[in-house]
Amino acid sequence: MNLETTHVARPSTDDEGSFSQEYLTFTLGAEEYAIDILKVQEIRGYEQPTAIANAPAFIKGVINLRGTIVPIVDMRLKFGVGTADYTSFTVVIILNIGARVVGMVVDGVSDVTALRNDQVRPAPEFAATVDTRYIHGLGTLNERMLIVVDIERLMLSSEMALMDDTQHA
Amino acid sequence: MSIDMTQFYQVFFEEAGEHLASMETLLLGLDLDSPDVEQLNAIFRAAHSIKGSAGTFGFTDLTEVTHILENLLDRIRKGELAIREEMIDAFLDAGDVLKDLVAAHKGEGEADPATVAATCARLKELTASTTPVVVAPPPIPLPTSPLKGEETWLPPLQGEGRGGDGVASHATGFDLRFLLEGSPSETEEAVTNLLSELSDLGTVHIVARPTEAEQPWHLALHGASDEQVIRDVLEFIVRSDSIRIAPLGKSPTNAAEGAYGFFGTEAAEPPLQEAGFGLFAEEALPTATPAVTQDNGYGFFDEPPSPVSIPATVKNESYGFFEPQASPPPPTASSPTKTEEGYGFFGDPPSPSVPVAVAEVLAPVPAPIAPPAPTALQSLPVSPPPAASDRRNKSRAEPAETTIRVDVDKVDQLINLIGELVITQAMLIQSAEQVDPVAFERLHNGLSQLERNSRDLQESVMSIRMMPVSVVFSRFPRVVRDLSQKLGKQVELKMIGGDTEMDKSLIERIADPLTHLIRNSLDHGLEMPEVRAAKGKQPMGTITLKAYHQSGNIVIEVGDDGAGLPRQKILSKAKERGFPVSDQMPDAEVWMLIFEAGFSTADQVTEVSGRGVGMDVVKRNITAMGGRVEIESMVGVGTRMTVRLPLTLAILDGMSVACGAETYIIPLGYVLESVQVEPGMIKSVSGVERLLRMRDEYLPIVVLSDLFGISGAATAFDLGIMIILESGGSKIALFVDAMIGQHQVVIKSLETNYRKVSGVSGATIMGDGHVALILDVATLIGMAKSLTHSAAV
Repeated sequence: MNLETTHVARPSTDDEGSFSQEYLTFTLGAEEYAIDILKVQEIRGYEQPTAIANAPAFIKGVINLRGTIVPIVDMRLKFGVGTADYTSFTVVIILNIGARVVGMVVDGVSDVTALRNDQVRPAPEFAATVDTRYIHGLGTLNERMLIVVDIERLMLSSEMALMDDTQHA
Repeated sequence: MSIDMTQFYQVFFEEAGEHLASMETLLLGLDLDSPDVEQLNAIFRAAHSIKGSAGTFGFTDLTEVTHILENLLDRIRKGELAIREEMIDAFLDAGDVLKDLVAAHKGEGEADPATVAATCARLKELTASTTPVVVAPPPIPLPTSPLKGEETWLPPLQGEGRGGDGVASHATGFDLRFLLEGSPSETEEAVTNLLSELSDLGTVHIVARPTEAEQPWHLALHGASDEQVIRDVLEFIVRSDSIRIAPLGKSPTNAAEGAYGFFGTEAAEPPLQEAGFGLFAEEALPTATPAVTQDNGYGFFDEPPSPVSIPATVKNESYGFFEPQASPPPPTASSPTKTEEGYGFFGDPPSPSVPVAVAEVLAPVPAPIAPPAPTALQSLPVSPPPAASDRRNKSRAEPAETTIRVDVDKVDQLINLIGELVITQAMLIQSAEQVDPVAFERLHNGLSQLERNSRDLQESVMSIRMMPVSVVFSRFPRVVRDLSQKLGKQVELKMIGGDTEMDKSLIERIADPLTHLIRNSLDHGLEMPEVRAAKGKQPMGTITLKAYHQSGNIVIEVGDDGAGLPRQKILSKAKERGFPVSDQMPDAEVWMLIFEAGFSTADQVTEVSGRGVGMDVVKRNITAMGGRVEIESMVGVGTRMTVRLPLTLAILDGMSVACGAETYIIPLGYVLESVQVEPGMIKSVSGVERLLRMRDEYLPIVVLSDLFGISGAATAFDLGIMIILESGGSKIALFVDAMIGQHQVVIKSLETNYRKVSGVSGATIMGDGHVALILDVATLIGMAKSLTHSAAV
């Protein structure tokens, strides 16, 4: 699993320039994001989760995913993009992050895209709600700009508050 | 291949652990005055099993220790040595060493080679210190005997020339006798394998081949040198207690250097005879060998007991060494019987009438014994055939294996799946309620059948994880024994209710806290014997360990009849340490102070306790398991600590309550009652704190929707319901919208995919598939306290 991460993280070199990787792209508001497809377990419709006391607003709560308690994060609230309304088209991407399962609410899932490493440019430093630490780079696909997110790092970070502080000290 | 081996290693480690545990239990249960042969055999079997499998896996260090252990055990169970307290100690130590070694092989920690060596030496020493069961006068040194300490005995051999230097490993061949189970035709293949194995070690001659079952095999193996190797080969196929290995000593050199005839002045007949060993100083006197009743007994006689020799023994390998002269060993070819290799040492040229006692011969005084050096002592498990077949019959009667070893993960998976099934079934029932019960009668019947079945299934699966508490209890006799010796206290440990069952995961986690509690009772609770006597108590203190079920809980009590907790001392220590205490505190609260971190009333720090760590860990561990500790104590009478635990960690009896749109589960154990608020019950203090008046008691009110920030919940007290909760001695009134019902819920961890949430101990899945959070009452009460504090400020 780490293999892919390293490939993505490494600046593209000549012999790796043609190495391509598949990404799941999704939209948050008007922005398009891409995450490593291998981290995705499944995509399902939104159901009302059970709220958790005193949790940050972007943590919607937990759902029962076939017997497993899975926390649901609304990325629109987290990134501050789009409107956080929940319709029958609202989609939850279930991610496998290490040994954990986390659900992520997005506006919509676009498609699965292969990006060559040389198509992903390092992101410039810029102020954003998303810390640039969690952005691998910006992928270009025709005229679309895809924000390639290191979803594992983001989900495990303390700012997502998804796990006990001791666990990533 | 290597992966496969590690799998087997795991099995070995588990088995070794179990064998060690059962060995320890048996050892501690042994009655020293009249040890039960069956128990001794069971201990021996445990040691032997460890040795066998350790050998298979090539853990030679384990094999060595168990081998030495076995030697001693073997002598004890055969009645050659009387079991003594120090032997039990040595066995227990050896058990610890083996545990360390096993752990070292597992890659957990290291075994200290010095300890291992020391324990081995101790065991050898005990094995060598031959105190026969028959009480005998003190050993008489051999004044003139050139017998060296390490020269002990040679295993018997009949019909063969005798020789050897006494150390089996130097022999040039062995005489092997053993029994195979089953008829010769059944064992043919095994025998073929065995013979080919043996022929790798030397030349095999079949001396006697049995034609019927229960007849012994008799082989001569020339050229082999290591008895242990042969034994190992044989033990694969043959009943180990039927193996007899004796060196073949035919070579002249052996006879010359090693025969146990030492001649002083008078030339005697050359020791070409078999099986006789005599030590001769000067003149030959008519001496006789009294028989000794045990194997490997050594008799040294001051005076010639009688001119008539009684060479035979009940069992084998008795040696008599006579201090006054003996004549050359007589030809004893006629003496030994088939099964009894007796050794006679005769003063006179033997009278032809030397009787061979086949029956039990009790020598008047088997004389004691110079301890042979430990190294040379090889105990051969030799038992006469009748005994062997007896034992075989017994082993047949033992019940067949009735347990299977299953990975805990598999059981957990099963439990999870059943949980799913129960949820699905509940969902179906909810859906079915919407259809016409008359038109769909069969559907309803089927569903209620399903409900019953799945409940039964759930209960059965849950019971797989249940284990008797005795699994934990069994370690405490050892703890108490070691500690009471160290402290010089006399303690009797009473254990009641060991068959009470509780969840395996709880069993594993309760062991440490209980050990702490017992150590605490022993160290602080019980007084020294003198003090007890001065107080008019029995010098022997009692620690009672009791387990029982009480209203859906497991209760484990650790009680002692010691001094009781010193209230004043605890209070003053607590003041010293700056705890908020007052002299008016109720006893229960004072006692709970001993669970505070860093709190100790011990005047000095000892090896056992006094550092103030331990009791706080106990409390924390027990709370983490969803349990509680309570202390009752009376000065001079004793102290009782009661641990209450849920039956299982996986299932919980809960009350579901509604608050806003959410459902919460409150563990039923904390719920005292629920009340509808009536006017006048709510009191306010300084306009902020809200108290509920219940039968002259004022309880702080906790509004769940405020605490958890739930919107849409009832705010007026007369619209909801108060649930009175109690934990750790304090009570609160929890205000919620409504009570829904009572459920058995499967506890799911929130932490698996999320994090710990304050006030929530876990989650569960309700019948409609929704997740409900389980409230953590203990922290809720804590949160309520801090809330009221902050509100008051």
